[in-house]
Amino acid sequence: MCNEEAVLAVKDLKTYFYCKGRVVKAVDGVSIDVYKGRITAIIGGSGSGKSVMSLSILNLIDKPGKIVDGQVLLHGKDLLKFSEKELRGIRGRQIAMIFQEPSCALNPVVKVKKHMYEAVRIHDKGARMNNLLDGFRQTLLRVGLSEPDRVLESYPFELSGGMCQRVMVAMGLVTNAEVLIADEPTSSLDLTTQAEILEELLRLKEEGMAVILITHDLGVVAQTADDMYVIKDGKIVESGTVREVFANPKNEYTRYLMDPITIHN
Amino acid sequence: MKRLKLILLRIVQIIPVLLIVTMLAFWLSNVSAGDVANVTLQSKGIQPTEESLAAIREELGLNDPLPVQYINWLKKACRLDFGVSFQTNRPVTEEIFSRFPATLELAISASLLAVIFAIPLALLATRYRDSAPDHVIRVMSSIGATMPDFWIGLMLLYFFGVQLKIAPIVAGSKIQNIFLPAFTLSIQYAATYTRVLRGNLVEINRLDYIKAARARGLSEGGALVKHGLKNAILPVITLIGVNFGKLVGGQVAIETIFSWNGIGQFAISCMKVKDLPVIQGYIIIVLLAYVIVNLILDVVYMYIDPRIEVE
Repeated sequence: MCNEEAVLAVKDLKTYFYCKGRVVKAVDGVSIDVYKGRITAIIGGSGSGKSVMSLSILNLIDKPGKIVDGQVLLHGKDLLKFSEKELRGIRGRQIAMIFQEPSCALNPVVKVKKHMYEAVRIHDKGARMNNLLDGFRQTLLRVGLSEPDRVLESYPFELSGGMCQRVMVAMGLVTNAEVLIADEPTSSLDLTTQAEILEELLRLKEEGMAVILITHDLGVVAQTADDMYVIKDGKIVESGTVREVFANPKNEYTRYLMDPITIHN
Repeated sequence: MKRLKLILLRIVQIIPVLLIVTMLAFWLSNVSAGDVANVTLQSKGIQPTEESLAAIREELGLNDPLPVQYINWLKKACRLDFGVSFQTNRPVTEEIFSRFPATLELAISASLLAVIFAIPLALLATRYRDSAPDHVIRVMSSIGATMPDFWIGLMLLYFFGVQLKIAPIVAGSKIQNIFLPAFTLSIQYAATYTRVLRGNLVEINRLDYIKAARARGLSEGGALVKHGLKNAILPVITLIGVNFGKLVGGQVAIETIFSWNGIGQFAISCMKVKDLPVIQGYIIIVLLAYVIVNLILDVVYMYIDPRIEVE
């Protein structure tokens, strides 16, 4: 797909859940490559394992789940071999994540500025709120929030879903994360806001960020992504550049996902 | 400011509560205490005769209609004048205020201790849920919630006072001796709060903002402390307020065991002899303390959860 070396490469990842004697293979041998300045889309229906995969990248799988095999290589170093403490240094600072329900991803009783301060402070114990506020304002403006002062002093419940999602993106930016995992970032937003957030992702990509876009919506993929992986039952069934796959979908499931689009066209 | 307005509203809401409770206190004890004139006379050592009874009724205003009696009584009560105790012939206010501070100290200390124990235990149980620490804490809190406090008190007194000799056996209500009685009282509440808090924390732990905090680099425990606790503790604050009513009314068993000169024993002894003015004063003072503490807790609640302002 790309000749450059991947920033993040997932190799043969297996994440299983052990429930009542049964083994659910949520992610079963997935490999993906993520490049700087490109948006890599992971497409799949619900239960396909795409969200579990994104949490596995950060090694945030809780019991009864377990990553049983594979590698997550960030600049060639395997994150799965990192200690919990080392991983905490990676989470948020090098790999940031945004979620499907932006208003649920922010603590309702904690002000935005405290969230942003925390994002920085976790990785830099010497950080002081007063020295950071100017930077926060700039970052909020950069993600399209035109009243940064008001937003900083707000509680998340006082903001709209779209605004919360922008705050989430801004929290990835204040730590200069290289990789942004966006897990269904637009699914709970209205169409106008959806378009705005996707534009935001495109802008981040232009600025050189590597974006992993997890979605069930091929329309979103067609608009924004460069590379795509189709995931079904924990396995990648098709991959390639968006152009290639859309021009010539080889897998049955990919064609099934595309069907509504081809009918409309 | 919205917050200030809400606090003022809460204060205004207290007024009808106070009126109703004072009315009930006045009326109930009038009914249950039997003939007040008779009791008053006997307490003064005067043989009740037709004439003396009539005289004392006139003097006490007992011939007025009940609402008038109530208003007169309320006017005095507003000045914290509840009359003179039948039993001791000293002003009720004096009797109550020589004991009530000790009870208040004990109630506040026990409430605080309960929360201080519950928070780390609940965090620990949640962080290691379904494994050994969680099971141990669950068993401990079940025992703590069901053991009678007087038994715990006696055991503690035996252990620390008789065996280790590091606590006085007959302590008296001095502030430096407050730990053992406060600890004894706090156990059952600590047990309840631990369970409530653990339940809430486990629920909250599943939410996206905890996951998001961990994705930012916080440890699981860190995310629980920084983002879970503030949300999980809200129902506990309500419980503290409710339970404070029980504590501030006095704890007869604990007061007796630790020779703590609180209001509980005194109130019981006055109820036995139908010492009406004291009972009325006791109800009002306890209610006032309860209402004020709950008002403070309301304000604390508001500061923890800014969403209250919106409602």
